[in-house]
Amino acid sequence: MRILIVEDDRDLQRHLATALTAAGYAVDTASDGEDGHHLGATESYDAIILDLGLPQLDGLSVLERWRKDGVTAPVLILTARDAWTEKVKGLRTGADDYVAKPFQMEEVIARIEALIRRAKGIASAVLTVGPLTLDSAQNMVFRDGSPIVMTPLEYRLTAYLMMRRGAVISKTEITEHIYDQNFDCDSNVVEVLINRLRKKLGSGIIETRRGQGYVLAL
Amino acid sequence: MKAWLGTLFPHSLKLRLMAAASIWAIPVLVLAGALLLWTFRSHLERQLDDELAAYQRELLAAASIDKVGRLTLAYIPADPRFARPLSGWYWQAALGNDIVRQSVSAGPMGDGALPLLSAQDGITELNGPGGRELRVFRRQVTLPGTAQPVTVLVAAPCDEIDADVHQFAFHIVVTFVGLGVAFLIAIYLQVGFGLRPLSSLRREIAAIRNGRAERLSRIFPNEIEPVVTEVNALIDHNRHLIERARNEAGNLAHALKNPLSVLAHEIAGLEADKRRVLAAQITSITGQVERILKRIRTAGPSAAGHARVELAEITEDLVFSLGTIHRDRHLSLATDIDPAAAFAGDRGDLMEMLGNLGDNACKWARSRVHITAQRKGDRLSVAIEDDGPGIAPPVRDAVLTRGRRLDEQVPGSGLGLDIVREIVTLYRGSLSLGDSTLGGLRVELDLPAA
Repeated sequence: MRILIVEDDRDLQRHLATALTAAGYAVDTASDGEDGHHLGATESYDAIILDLGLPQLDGLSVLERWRKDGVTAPVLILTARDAWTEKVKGLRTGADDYVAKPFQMEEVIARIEALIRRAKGIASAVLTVGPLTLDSAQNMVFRDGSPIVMTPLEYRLTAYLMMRRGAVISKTEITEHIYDQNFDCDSNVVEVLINRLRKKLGSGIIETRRGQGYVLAL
Repeated sequence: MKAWLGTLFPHSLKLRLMAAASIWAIPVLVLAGALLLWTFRSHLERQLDDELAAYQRELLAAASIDKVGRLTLAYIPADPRFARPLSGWYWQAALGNDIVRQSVSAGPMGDGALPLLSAQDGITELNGPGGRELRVFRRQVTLPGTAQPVTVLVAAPCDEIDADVHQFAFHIVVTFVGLGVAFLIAIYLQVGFGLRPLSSLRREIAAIRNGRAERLSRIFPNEIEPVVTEVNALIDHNRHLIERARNEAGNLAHALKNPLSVLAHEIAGLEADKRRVLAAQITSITGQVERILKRIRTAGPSAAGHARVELAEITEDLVFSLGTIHRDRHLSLATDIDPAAAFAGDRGDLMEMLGNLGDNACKWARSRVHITAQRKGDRLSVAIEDDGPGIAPPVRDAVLTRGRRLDEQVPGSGLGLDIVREIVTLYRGSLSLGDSTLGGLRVELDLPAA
């Protein structure tokens, strides 16, 4: 799962990025509106955290442009402007949630998880696919009830595959949603990762479709 | 003059204008009266003098000197006033210093009661018999047949003129006092009419203060127009200041909240004791900042002008927003809004109240939230109900008390109800908690309707 944070306060940006990375997300950051808009419009994110008071281009304009460009990722507005009039304006512009600063980190992470689940059409924090169970509240994957030890990257890939269960997922899509933008794309890396996962999850769970990508067998 | 008029009537333009009008009107009336009186008297005097001259000419025409050198009168004036003793009307004819004949009214000859001969030629006034003032016309001529001058003298009483003049003066005083009173009444009405735009100005300003109007809109006379323009400019300036204060409050919020967020997350690495102390302080600062900012941001009824907010429009925004924020809770959000329901006040203030109450309802509701609005005369009643656990009657007062939260487990700063209550108070409305037919809490707002 990959997340974009558009926030001009560097310290706050760092705190958010640290907490979200710890929660198992790949995180990109932008510090002004122009940058943020560009990243959001060109990269694939599973959720975006957007501040409203941004230099160069204000948050609402950024959001408006994204929605016009067809960006469908759920957007959580994180702002100091907590008047209801502004909340309504933000939500009407196309935001999916609105959290006022100062905020509880746990609340923001919980809401981001809820937004992602909702966007993927999943109702609960615990997702079961075949013998696998994903608990996004604990960042844990279980097979037949026993936990599987994973690196953050492996967890991210497993969670992504489980959420998109049944769909064929290309290597490019995997790269886009698992790694942050600083990652140097190399399809071999994905293959190595898939192979490592197959060993941990057991064979026959991740199937390869030649020339198309991977799919989670049900 | 301006100065002392000002000090005389510092509180009334009407009295000032009336005093100023009286200052010229009353002397003019008095002068006009005096002039009329003087003209009337001189007219009467001239008339009397003409009469005296006529009698004198008649006497002279009748006078002749006979062969022995005596003065004789061929006839005498027939006017009965000359025959009534001491009537004031007298005549005398003299040759040299000897009075030859006189009117019956002057008494028997040689009485000497009439010192008329001492008069001078022409018209004079002197005291006659009985102390009455007489107007005397005396003329001396020489007739053929004697060397001595012939003197003819006619007198009439002055008091006849005086009586007429007095009567005339009485009429004039009565008429002119009446005229003066009519003048003052006319001035009073005229001043009232002239100052009427001031009363409408006052009414319009009151309407602005009460929130029924936004600016002075009516067309005023040229003399008041500058004041109207200035007042409108002042209102705009005020609104601009409020707008700026609101913007600055927003900026301040942004400026303060980021550092507070950073601090709150930065202390996570500290040891438990220190963290607890710092966290409490940060929470306290945050609470204060939010409370103050919310209060600054509230526009209130005076800044709102005659703004009118349609409830239907607001609730549509509200339902959309609450539905988005609480999408995961799958609530049914229903509204029943009277089409005539409109709030007399600021849009942001209403949104803040309904947003907070609606958000609370959505947090506590099991599955349903109802928003209803009704217009009752010039009041607006908005009710927000949920099917949650509700609040037991004995605890309701405590919930409405500043800063109290009933349950810390439901997320939220606890400021919601506080700010709602403050805005409601600002609009002289009321907030009440009750039982909903849905099974949970019913919060009802009573607000001014537009």
